Amino acid sequence: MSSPRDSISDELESLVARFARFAGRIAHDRGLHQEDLDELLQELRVRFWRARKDGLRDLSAGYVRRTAISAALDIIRRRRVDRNVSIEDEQGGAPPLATLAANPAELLDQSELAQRVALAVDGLAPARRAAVRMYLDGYRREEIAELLRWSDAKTRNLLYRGLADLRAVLIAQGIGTPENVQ
Amino acid sequence: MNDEELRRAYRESSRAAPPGPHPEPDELARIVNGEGSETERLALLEHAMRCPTCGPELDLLRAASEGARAGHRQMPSTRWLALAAVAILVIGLGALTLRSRRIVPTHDVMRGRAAAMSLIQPENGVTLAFPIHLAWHAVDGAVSYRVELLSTGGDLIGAWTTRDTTLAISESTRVNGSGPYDAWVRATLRDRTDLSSPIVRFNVKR
Repeated sequence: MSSPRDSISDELESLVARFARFAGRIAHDRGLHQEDLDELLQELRVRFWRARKDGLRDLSAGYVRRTAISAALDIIRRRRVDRNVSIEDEQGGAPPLATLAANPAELLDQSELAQRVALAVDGLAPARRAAVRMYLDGYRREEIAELLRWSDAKTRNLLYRGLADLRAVLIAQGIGTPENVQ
Repeated sequence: MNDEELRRAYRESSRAAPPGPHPEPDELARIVNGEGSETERLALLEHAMRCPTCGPELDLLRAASEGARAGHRQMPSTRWLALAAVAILVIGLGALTLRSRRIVPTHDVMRGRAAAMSLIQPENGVTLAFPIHLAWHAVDGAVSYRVELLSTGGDLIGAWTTRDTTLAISESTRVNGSGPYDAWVRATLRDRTDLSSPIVRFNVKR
């Protein structure tokens, strides 16, 4: 027979485990470090415990959400203080690891292509640019719609038009062929 | 260039923090909370998407927001626990009955090894009909796999344990509706630790 304390502990662990399942999906998709997620879960565990200790019986959905966002914000603030790096120091970082394996000629080609694509994205109209940037960065269409509070139709429209604009700019520069332009 | 080539090229472009100050953490949270005008959100996202510092911070906030869906199911009060225990017992007996009726996949699925636990099928966002076939990569040292079917609210609808790397979920009293479902697989390793796949979401049509 478990004590009331054990049952509370089980309830909280169950909530944290469910939280981990949902949060893990985003963390996996976005390549978030496991230690970041672990830190968030640990913060939440402590906060949920305190809430129950302070007599809060039901941890409502609203409470869980506020607590989770607040815990994430505290982690971000702590890191910013720890990092204390100026924006200037962060600029011009090392090239991505993927490019280091290529030979110098390929490296130049890849790097030039990458920079041309990035510049072409920069030149898109703001709403189309946001949709395209997020899509190329691996966001799913529904995630783009959710973050920008757009309907699915609006997201689809802006994304496809943005990609068509991007391809048209690249083709004008001699990159790619017209068959992919919609 | 197709989408994949564009993505590869875009990801290879060097990222540097855009000019100007980083948004405050609270401003990033406003994106996740759906607050502010569209212009404001576009400007904040434009920075976050290009910034190697703010991008991961936005991801952490999004993970927190997504995880908070776990709170949509109210914590049960103590007096309901006894009823819940009875319900679990009934469901457990039902599961034992259904287990004997489980359909074995009729086709072979090519599977390879993967360093992490990952599902081969279904893919995110697909629409399926019953029976739902799941397949995943074998994990070294796994003694069994537990497949969990969840509602999109995170409630456990059904769980199956198998030593194979495929499973077919047939229509049953627990799984009989059309609509979206989540599923994931956990490998139990020899040392009693678990390795979990990411959750996939798919739709079921009748």
